[in-house]
Amino acid sequence: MNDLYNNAIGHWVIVIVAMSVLLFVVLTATAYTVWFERVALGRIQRRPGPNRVGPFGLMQLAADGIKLAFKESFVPEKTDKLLYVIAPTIAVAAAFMAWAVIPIGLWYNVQYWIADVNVGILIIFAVSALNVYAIVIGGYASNNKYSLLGGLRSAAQLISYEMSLGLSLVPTFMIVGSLRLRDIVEYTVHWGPYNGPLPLVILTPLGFIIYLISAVAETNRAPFDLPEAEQELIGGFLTEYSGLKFVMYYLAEYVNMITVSALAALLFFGGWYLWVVPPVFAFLLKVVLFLFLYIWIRGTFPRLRYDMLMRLGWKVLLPLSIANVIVTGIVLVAVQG
Amino acid sequence: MSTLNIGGSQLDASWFLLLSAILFILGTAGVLVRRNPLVILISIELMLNAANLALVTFSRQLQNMDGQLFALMSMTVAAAEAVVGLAILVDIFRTRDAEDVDDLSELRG
Amino acid sequence: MFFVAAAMAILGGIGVISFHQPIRSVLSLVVVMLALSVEFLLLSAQFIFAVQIIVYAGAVMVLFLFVIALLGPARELGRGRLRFQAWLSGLFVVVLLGLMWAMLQGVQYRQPDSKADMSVFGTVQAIGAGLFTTYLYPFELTSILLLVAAIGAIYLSRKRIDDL
Repeated sequence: MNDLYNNAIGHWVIVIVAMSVLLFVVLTATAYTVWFERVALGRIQRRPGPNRVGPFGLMQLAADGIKLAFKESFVPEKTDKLLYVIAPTIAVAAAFMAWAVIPIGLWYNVQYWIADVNVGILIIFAVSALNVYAIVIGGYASNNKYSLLGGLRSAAQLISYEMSLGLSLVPTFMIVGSLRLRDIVEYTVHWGPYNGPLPLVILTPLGFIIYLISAVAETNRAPFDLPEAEQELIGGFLTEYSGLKFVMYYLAEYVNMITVSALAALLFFGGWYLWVVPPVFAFLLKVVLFLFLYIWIRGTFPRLRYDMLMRLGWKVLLPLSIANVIVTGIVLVAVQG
Repeated sequence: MSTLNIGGSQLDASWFLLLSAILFILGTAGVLVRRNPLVILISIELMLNAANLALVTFSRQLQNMDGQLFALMSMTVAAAEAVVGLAILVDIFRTRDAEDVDDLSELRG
Repeated sequence: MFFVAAAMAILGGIGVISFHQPIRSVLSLVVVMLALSVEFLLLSAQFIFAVQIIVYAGAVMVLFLFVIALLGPARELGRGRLRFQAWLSGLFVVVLLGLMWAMLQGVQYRQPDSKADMSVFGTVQAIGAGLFTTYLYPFELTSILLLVAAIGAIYLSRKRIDDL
């Protein structure tokens, strides 16, 4: 395996196979996340949810996909056609690029990753920063007042919450001393008799809460789905998108949702370590639990008003996360000397 | 001439400097030729980026981190510059439609 | 890898100065920045690579986009008051190009004083160590600069009394 990997052609073959496998897995996971969300939301709202197509409605997404693919792809008049088409492409590309650096524990000593870089988490931030473009350009290119408003709202929202998202993770890095995702997952402590992996959420509970809230805002999910806000903005930046371009935005949203869930599991809950459960199942279980949490939040919280959203981001989350960084620094210096 | 070992292959540092020079000149041309104040600001950002590339190139060639630190500083300065520049532009656009920097030659509001 | 990114950067740079809609200029600049971030990665400046995308492409350029979206699509008019401006600037650019070329020919590379440990070169740890020891003073100054810029921007974009 090692010889093959060091060979130039073998290297590329492995990388390309790894990428294709990942693409397939993430796409499938996305499809079933949508199904899971619809069923779970249905149960929360005391209705059955999709149950017609296939057993338990499992094929509902395939049906929806076919329907959307054959829909007329509508392009509004008097717009910048190039930008209109590029915007959803950016969304999908940015959503998938984050998975290049996310490691997945397959078995006890076998892990799967495409790139194991020592600025891993920064790359995820960098890629998620590109998401703003997809939404702003989509809103701008639609040539529609509602789309533009949705896009602008979203730009402000994403930039505001990106900071608290980033700062909420800084204590984690300070404790572990590395930005490499694998190092963070394999963080172990030696506390008296206990010697082993420790979920970092115990050490930075505040960071985790801030991360959770900011991540919901970053993925534009309810209750922070102001860019879409059906009741007031029709559909925000999505208003003018239909057919496959709509599918691309939709796909990107769910891939992002899985990404932030996987990150939460990796950064705060010890990734693939869970007692005696085999790593890959432990990881999947944690991701699914976070996905359910997101759906649960969507089903139970009302949408925030825009000024409340900004107030929460700038006056609550940002100061809290800065205070968290400072306190963690002081404690670390006090403990480690 | 100085060759750098980049990703396993040898590449001369001059290539990076050449790219930096070309980008800087493109930025200069943008500032000189274009008339929209927004585009002029964008061209200035392009020039700053080119300067950053030169800084990082020399940092790598001398194997000294100082160049990278200076690139960080210049990014900060660029961010500040963009913020103030855009704020001024928005303020100007509020009172008049300025699509040409030459329209902004008066000092009165 | 270098040449692909370099070609992208130069194409983007040409795009910045030749597109007529400002929004396309901004997007071209984003392309330049992404290409340059690849160059930074090649020069083993990983942290600069990340910061380039997060700060520059992710925040500064979004600000530009924001302003353009707010102000609406402003089209540039082809008229010029200075009749010879295009010629003059063309001349200037050619002269500058010649100067740069002459300078590049004369660049004398100094050998590195001491071989740095390339395994930590450009990592977050190395940058942090530099910023908080040798360059602590300039670092604090940039924070003041950012504060001043933020206050200035808020002051400039405040609501005027006669607007109300």
